Amino acid sequence: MLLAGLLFFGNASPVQAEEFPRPLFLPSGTQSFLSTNHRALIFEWTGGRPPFYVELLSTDDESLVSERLQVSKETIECAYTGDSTSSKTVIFNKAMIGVLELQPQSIRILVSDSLGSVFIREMTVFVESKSISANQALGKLIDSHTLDSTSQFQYRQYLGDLKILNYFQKLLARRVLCNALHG
Amino acid sequence: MLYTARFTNSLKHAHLWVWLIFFSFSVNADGAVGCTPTLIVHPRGGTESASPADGLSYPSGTAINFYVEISSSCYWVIFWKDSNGNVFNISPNHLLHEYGVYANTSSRFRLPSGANQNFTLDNIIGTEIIILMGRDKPFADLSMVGRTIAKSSTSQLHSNLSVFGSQLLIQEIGHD
Repeated sequence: MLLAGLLFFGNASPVQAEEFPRPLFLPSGTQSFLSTNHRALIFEWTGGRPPFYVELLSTDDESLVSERLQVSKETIECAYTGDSTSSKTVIFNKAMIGVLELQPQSIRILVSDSLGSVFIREMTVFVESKSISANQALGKLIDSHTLDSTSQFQYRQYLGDLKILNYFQKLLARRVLCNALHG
Repeated sequence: MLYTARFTNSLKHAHLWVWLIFFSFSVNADGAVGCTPTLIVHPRGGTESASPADGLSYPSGTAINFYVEISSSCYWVIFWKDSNGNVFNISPNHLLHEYGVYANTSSRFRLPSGANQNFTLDNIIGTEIIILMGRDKPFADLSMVGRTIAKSSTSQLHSNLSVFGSQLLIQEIGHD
């Protein structure tokens, strides 16, 4: 099967379609919540074949952001379940979208890979008066029983770029990400 | 097994409405004779249904295979749009390129490609859409095809996807 591709298309090689893109912190089949406090959004997902195309749409499908982003490929060391002595490197994708001003509305995020696999998630943007610190967000995200799955994405946004967290926050953030990656 | 596991998690549906939408680009703008892929739905323990066929409805837990038959030289690709709007390119991974799957002779492809693998439906009720596309020339932008599918309602698929081929035939199948 591989030979056929090579014969007809030179250096082209078959690709892995079974690794469909799957978003983190955004459950399927339900609307997640998103605060108007956020001026930039971080989307993370596993799988899929680059390049990726990211669209942020309002409910009437008018595009808020539509970009073929430079998605960064990130790696993280996650412990095997039930075995704290060994770990494996997990790869995921990250895209940051700058949003000038989110208004209360329903929006959709649509991410497609080069093979046409697409995930869609819907979010309800709401006005949030209080501000949540990174520590508070980590506390909620670590204990999944205290946080509805529809709020995970919102709390993930309060962490921002994980690179700027302090050492202990990074440890907790790694656990949060690994839990999400194990899905 | 990864293939099956992924679909067990993400594409489970209590009652599957299968809309088979068949695109046949029989003659391209340049006059080349096109491919005519056909789709067969095979529930485990059930009877194969060849496209065109009556609508299909399956209960939770049903294991399903698809077969794509190619009668002549062809580029083809098959998508699954789930009831939440997500789109999966379920073409056989070991053959798939960014221009689609190429078959240069009469062929029959099993999906998933593993001999003991199936797509398994869970308890989420919804409409599933299976889209099989074929054309004489390589697909130029499967990403665009996927996004078009994701943004289109069932009734819009025919017109919205027509831009990817010069001739188009759509067959919809649905039953309770």
